[in-house]
Amino acid sequence: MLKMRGVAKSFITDTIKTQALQPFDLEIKQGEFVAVVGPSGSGKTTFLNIAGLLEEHSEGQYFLDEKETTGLSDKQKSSLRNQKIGFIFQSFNLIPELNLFDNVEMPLRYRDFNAKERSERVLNALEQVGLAGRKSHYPQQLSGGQQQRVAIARALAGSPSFLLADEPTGNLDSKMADGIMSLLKDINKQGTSILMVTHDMEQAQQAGRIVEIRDGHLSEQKVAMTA
Amino acid sequence: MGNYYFKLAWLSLKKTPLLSLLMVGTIAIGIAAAMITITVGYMMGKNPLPHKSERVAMVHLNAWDPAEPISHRRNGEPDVPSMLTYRDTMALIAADRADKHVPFTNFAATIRVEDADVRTAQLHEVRSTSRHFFSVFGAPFIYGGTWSEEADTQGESVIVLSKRENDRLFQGADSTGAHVIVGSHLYRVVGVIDDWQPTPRFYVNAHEMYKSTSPYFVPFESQMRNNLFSPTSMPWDCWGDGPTSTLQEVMLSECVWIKLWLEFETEEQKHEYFEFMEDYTEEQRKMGRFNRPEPNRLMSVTEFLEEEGAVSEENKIGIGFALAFLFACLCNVMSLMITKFHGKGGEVGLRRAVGATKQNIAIQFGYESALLGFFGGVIGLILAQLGLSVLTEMYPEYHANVMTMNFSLMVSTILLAVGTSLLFGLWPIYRAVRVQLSSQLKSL
Repeated sequence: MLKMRGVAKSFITDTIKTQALQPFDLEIKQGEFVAVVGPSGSGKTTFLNIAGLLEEHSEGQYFLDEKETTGLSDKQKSSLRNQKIGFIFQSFNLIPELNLFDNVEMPLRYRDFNAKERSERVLNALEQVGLAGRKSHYPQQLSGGQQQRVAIARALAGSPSFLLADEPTGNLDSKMADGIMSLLKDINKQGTSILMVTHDMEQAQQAGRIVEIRDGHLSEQKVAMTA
Repeated sequence: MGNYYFKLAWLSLKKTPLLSLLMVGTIAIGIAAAMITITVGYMMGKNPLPHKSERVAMVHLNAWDPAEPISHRRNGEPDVPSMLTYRDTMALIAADRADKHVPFTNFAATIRVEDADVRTAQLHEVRSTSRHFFSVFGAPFIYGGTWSEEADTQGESVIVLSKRENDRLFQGADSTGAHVIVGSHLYRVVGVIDDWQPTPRFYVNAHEMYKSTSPYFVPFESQMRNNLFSPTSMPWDCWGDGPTSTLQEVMLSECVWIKLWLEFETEEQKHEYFEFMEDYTEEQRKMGRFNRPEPNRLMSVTEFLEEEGAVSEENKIGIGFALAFLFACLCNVMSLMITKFHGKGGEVGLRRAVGATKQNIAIQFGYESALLGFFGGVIGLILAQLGLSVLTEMYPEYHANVMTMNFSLMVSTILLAVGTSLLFGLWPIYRAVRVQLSSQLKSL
């Protein structure tokens, strides 16, 4: 599903070249739950941006569902993001002036769905996160955990190949964080792949695989067996 | 998708009401200032007979003092009279080389209803002209119609009233067949024209173009037959030593006092008529007249308006200043838009992440710019109407039509506001769509 071969990222400013990510290989199969861990500044966000087609990699090849993404136009990447990737952010990134329905509907607006299809998908996604009854509410009327559920519903509405979650529980207390983690695991069990960046090793252990990034080097870690 | 973008634009404007109000207000003030000056300039200079302005022409014959020209044009060249002598007017009409002839002059007379008390008589300007005046210049009738050819040739005492005078004298009733007394002569009403105010009143000279139309019209020949002569209210220019104390003396003199407009079937006929004017001039030269060198003119409506300077240089400069002010306002709006769109970087990043293309974002912000322009245009239109009504009060010598927006100007106001708002929104939109996605996703 997601295959990276010799992918690396460097930034060049004036005469200084900074290697943010050393060349690495990575393959994530359909249905996997992969956690990406590492200290601040290690290159986690850069990795996530490349995986989410938000940033161009400098070297190597990146295949998404067998499709080579290197050299795609901005429009083609937008279309791939829309159809293949669901984003979940640490700060939820809901638009405050739109109600829950409109927030979840947003990615569908950039696809050829008619109003009926959009409505069905939005209600299904909200149902999946347990918020179908609050579709007319606004984000500020919800708790942090509920807001993140809406963000997950938005990510799921377009039936993406995988979810990219950037510290999805970073802004939540432990109880809400547990709720979000169990929701993500449920979603994963239903077949959606998840690539999650986290600081929290305990949460990372709940994923099937752990990838560690340290000083731009990417390596696999063994997952401790949990009961 | 249009409804969606419209909804987003509306929500975005509501989200920052003060900033939105500032932008809308700035556009409105700029648009109002521009449209007030453009309206006055446009209404003063617009073509009042667009369907036939090149087939309707005014005769300028150079029948004047060989010693010195009647006046000088704006470019300093000697001018020719814009009015004709009685004998030249009659000669050109008798030659019958145009489709319609409209000679006219005017006089002042007291007018009252036949049976009314003499104390009800009011002094009014009366236009003496031919029956074709109304069809050539487009005056519409509400009762009756113009007088007959016989009335023209025989100088019958018949009269056409304006609606306003008909309302005053006959309480708005159909007055055809009724009689009014003009001076001391009994005139029969044959028609009433509706409110009619061509702007500019192109068939007279520049200083009269923005005044109200005449309230009474009588056959030209009837003025001669009834000896209706009011030298102080009649436009006329004389040279030479001939006596000019009576109308009969003026008619025999070289004084110019009659304007002559013609309507032709085709422009070709107009050109042929100019040849005829040249032949006529040559004939007159043989009799010792027309001894000045300046050429005759046969000026179409648009040429005459241009010659008379219907839109003054001051007007054009005023429009220039108003457009410059609008430009300054829009530059301010542009900078406010940059601020506003920059503040939406997080939303742009999010939308781009979930699949919006740069084009989608540009269209979304384009709707917002257009909506700002629309509101600015509507408020600008209201402000412009207020400004124009103040100007109407300040300048009563100009007819209110000059300070009145027609429908197309109103639509233009809105289109100008939306168009310029979109134009000046292009740079802020371009900047907004170029944000780096990854850097904006943490700023919503």
